[in-house]
Amino acid sequence: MISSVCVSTYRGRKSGNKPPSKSCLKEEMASGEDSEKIIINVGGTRHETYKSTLRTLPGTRLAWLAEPDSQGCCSESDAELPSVSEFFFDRHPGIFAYVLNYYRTGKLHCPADVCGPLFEEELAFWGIDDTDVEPCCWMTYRQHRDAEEALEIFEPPDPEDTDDDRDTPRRFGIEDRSDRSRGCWEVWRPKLWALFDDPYTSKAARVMAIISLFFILVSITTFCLETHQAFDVKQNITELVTEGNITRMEIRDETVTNSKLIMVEGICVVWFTFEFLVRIICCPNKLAFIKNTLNIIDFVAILPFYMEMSLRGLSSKAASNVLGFLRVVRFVRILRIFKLTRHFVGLRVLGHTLRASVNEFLLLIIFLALGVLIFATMIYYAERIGVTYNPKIKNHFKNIPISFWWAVVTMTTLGYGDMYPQTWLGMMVGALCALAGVLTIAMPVPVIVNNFGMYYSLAMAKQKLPKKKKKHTQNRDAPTDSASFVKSETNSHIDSTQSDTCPLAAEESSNSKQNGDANVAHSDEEGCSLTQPLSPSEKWSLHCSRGRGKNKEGTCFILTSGEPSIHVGGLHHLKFHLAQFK
Amino acid sequence: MTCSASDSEKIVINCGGIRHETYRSTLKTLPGTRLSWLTEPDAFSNFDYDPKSDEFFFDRHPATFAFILNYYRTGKLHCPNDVCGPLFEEELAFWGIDETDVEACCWMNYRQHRDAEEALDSFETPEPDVPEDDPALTGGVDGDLKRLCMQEDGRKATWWEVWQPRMWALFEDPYSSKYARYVALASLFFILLSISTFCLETHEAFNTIYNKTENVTTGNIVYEVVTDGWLTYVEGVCVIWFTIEVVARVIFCPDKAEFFRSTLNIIDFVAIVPFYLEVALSGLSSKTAKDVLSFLRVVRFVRILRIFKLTRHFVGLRVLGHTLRASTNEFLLLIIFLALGVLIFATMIYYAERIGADPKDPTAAAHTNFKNIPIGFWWAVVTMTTLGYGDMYPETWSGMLVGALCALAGVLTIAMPVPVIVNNFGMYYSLAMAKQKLPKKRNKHIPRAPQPGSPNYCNMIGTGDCPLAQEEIIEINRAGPPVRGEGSQ
Repeated sequence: MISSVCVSTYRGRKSGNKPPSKSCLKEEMASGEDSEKIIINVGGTRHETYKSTLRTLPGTRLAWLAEPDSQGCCSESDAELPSVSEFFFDRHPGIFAYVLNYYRTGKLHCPADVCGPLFEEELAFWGIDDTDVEPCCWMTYRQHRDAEEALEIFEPPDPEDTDDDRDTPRRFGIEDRSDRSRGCWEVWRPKLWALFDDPYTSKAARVMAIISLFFILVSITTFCLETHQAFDVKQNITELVTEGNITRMEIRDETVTNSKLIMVEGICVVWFTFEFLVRIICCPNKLAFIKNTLNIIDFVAILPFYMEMSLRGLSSKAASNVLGFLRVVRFVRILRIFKLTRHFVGLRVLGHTLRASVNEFLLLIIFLALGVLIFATMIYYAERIGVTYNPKIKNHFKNIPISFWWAVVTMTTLGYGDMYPQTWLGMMVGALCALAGVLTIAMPVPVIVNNFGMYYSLAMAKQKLPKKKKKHTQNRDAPTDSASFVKSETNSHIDSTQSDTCPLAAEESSNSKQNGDANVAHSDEEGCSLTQPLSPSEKWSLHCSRGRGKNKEGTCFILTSGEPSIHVGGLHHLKFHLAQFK
Repeated sequence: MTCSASDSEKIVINCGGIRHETYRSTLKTLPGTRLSWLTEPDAFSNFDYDPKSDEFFFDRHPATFAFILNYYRTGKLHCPNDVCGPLFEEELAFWGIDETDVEACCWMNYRQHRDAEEALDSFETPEPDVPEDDPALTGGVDGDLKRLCMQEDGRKATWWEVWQPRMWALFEDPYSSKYARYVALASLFFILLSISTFCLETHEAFNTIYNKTENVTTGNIVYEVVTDGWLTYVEGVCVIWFTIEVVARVIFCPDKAEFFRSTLNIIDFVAIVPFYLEVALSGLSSKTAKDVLSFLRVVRFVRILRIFKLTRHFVGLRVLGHTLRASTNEFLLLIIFLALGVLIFATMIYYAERIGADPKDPTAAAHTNFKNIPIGFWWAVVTMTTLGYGDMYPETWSGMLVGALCALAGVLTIAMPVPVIVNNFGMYYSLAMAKQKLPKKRNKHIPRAPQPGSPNYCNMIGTGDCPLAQEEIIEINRAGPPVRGEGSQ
């Protein structure tokens, strides 16, 4: 019971200047370390918390701080100078407040004023799984990432991307090493590819793009005009028809397209074929090329013309059947309009939006289908009831399926007027239907529109982003002397590359923790490109000398055998440690 | 330092590493809150007080604390803009401040997320088949067991106890197992089949007209339209499936009262009853049976309600339902706006079309479609929703003017309340999507281990109800240490 009194006094003012009795203290040191405060200096802002708080999330970076071996180095000085013991991390201080709050409350919220990827990176560094983000913040957290991911998924297979043209030579696997020694083909192939694929590479490529655009437009115009009767020529065709054993001549009219239009179409097809062949020959990655929908469209749209041409000479029944089929298949030529996506960013964005909003489209369709079903049923019964009272009215709504049409026309507020309710009950249903339609259409559309807006602004941003990006170099030279840098860099590197497998990274470090010396050598190799293995004492001296040499305060950063990137201030720590190692 | 500290004495509060300094008198402005206890004489023992630096330490979010302290200073509680609502809420609860003290300007910002969360939670918990936030997903059968209030008390579970949760999950939660998915698919198939049958049987191609002679006293021939036989069979098969489903769900349902209160289940039941009644009554030939039958034929339309069973399968439809329920006020607004416009413009068009009417026409309605004001309502609705069927249209100059005004007013009337509803939908939808996309496997935060030695633990214990927490802290302070003291001896 005496000890309990000690404990309670101790608890009253923790780390008080009046130390409790010896036995009490010992006990406290063993069990009361939870209540010990810890100061974490993140990017200059000091955060203070209890060690027990940090332990709530085992396996994370901060939890290691609370482990006994990480504090082992500083335990001696802690008792007297608690203010000295602070751990330094060179990270964003504002975000750390949220990370630390996760330890405190168990709820991980995102700061609203911070970009998602930045927060993501910080989470990865602190070893926190991003699935722990609360649902309320998950939206804001994911928003940017979704867009980024989508764009990244969409764009690399798109070879005519405007923004990654600098990689083109690299994509060929040909480096700029020795241009001279290679053949003419190897020199020209990427150039040709760029010429036909990327309108922004050179002036010539731009001219090619304009020519291509011109042919696309001509081809589409031809396609539309040839259905007009002014361009149709009537021909009489005599045919031999065999029925049983009677063979008779049959004369039938056939409409044939004006030959001028066919000529124009032929020229267009020849250009498209040429373009397609050049592209397929110069293409660096044949498989990706064939898998691309746009290229398939290219191919499909030129195929019918050649088939028609080759079959025209034949006059067999089968050939004419195929021809008749091909005439219908001509409509695939309209797919050429999709070639315009190569030339307009907005169209590409539209494509991405459509692909990303499949769910919302389904939603829209389901909403509409639901409304159509319900209102078609309602109007059918409403008008039937009305008609029984007033038989003079000619009921438009014969059955439910035909009422579907009315419901669609009403819900989209088209209102053709081919069918309309004529009874009071029907009018009520009609009014409701129109209102419901406005809402039904209005609700999922903004989601899709938002998607489009996001992709569009991203695409615009990417386009407007200056090409010459000055890449941020991990400034390796400046603080190589600081052990912290070595450590934090290697660690952040690990974490950022395997951001999803943070627990693994944690495992790695904790494994290496056990063989502390190996850890040091390892980090040295990575950070400072120190290759020879050193004996522990040598290493320590090395670090000491570096630390003393460059640090004005004379603070030496100790690589403890525990957690990397932990700094413990004060030279005496170092001494203490060296003593330990010896 | 002493108990009799003057009010003007300053106090330092270290909140998560950042020092805040204020007067004691400031803290006293809100009695009954956690910070006001700091001014009490026994605060040094109750809170984590560091005599060396003369400060109280709280292990909380430092940035939000600045706002809370500001509340003590100015009496106005504002929310930080860059902090998620629930986070601030939790901090408020910890500091013992009532959230209703939030200023009106920040209230929107503060409530926004919570409204959605609350709505979603309240909507989703009674619905056990929600794919997100379902305990059955993570806990598997265990979650179900808990829901069914069955304890693992060692005794051997009966067949019923083993199978009831499984069967329930099979029929209720399409995401619980592979078989549940099949059942859901079958259910979906039958719903669609039943709906198509329902729509097709009104088409004349599937209806045969029978001449039926009846021995009525007047003795005339009655034409009766009978639906194709095979459509009835298809409908019968569907109904049998739905019956099996409903019966299974009723039997295996863990909470019968809740089951019968659910609208979806009532729809299930109502939609299958007419078929059985029709079948049962078709054998009878009495007059009343016939009357009931003809009534049932009209009542058939309740079968269309089956479409709402789709909500079990589509998240989007559930979101729609939530939106509709949450936006009742806005709907009323929309309807009132529209009704107002309809009334005004129907009246206007009625009189506008009468201007310059033929004086010989007594009703002044010969030349116009607008015979009376009620029929003008219909025209006004069609115009204001920009439908424009063309069955009625103004033909005089004054009428056209009114028509143009009506169309303009209609666009605005519809455009104004709709975005509110649409925003609601957007919020729910993005929340639902976020919840769906939220990875299931969550590395759960281990709640702080009950270490009575840690004052942090004491501070943390009553996050929800602070006045109580104070009591607890003292209690634990007295109760905790002896245990350890005994342990050491």
